[in-house]
Amino acid sequence: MTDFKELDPLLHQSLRLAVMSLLASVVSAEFVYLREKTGSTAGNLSVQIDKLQAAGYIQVVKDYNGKKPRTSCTITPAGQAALEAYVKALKTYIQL
Amino acid sequence: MEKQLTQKESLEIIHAMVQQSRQRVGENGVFYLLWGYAVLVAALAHYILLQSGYENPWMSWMLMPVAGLLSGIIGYRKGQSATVRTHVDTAMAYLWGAFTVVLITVLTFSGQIGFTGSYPVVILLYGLGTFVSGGILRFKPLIIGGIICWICGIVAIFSSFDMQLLLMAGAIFCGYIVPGHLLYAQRND
Repeated sequence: MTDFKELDPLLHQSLRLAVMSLLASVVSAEFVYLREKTGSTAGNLSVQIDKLQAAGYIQVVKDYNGKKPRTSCTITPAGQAALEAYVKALKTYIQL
Repeated sequence: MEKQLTQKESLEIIHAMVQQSRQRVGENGVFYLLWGYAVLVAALAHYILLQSGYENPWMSWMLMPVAGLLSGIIGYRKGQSATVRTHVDTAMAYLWGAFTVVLITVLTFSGQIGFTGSYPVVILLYGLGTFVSGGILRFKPLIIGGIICWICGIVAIFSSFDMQLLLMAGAIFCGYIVPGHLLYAQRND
């Protein structure tokens, strides 16, 4: 009997999963980049980024590019591990 | 209330986002064009001035600090406006940083190395830079250009100084200028 691994509820949500997948593929990304690539609204993205940050999956740095405020996100080692575990768990379902 | 994701949808999201994060390589084209033409003009001018018996034929290389300044400005501007930092960016930064260090070292100590040895080494260096960056960017014309530079460099070792200048011009044309135009054409893809 195949063992169904539990899927991390923090990652098992479309926008959070999209953000984590993007950040896992790059070194760091700004809020505008994440919004553009996920096609989400600024408000929704902001909420999900806060949740991921609170969980320690991503690191968020807010500074300025000249006069423009800038928010940069980087995946943490914990976030990387969580995403890998999530993909591994996903595969136990797909194998069937 | 958001509907529950299916496992298939999850994999599709991950795949789609990984695809989205793939970089547009064309943006690098401008640097290959800038340096390519600068070296081409300087090398050919040096050759012509040498043949004309001009007193300081190497003066054409004063174009290099100008190119360096332009390259720095363009690079800085691109860095400021970029909204993402990728692994390709990191790799390219280390590659061209190391390239610059070695290039400046070889040229600074070309007296000790020997003038007839320095230029072939520089041509071989061009080959290293373009070959590796071609691999990083997965862009074949750069890889081929790099190999051509290496061939020119090896021939240059056995050539007279004025021939070395022509070989340098040929190497930079194949290694920087042609791939540079091909990259630049793709910049909005």
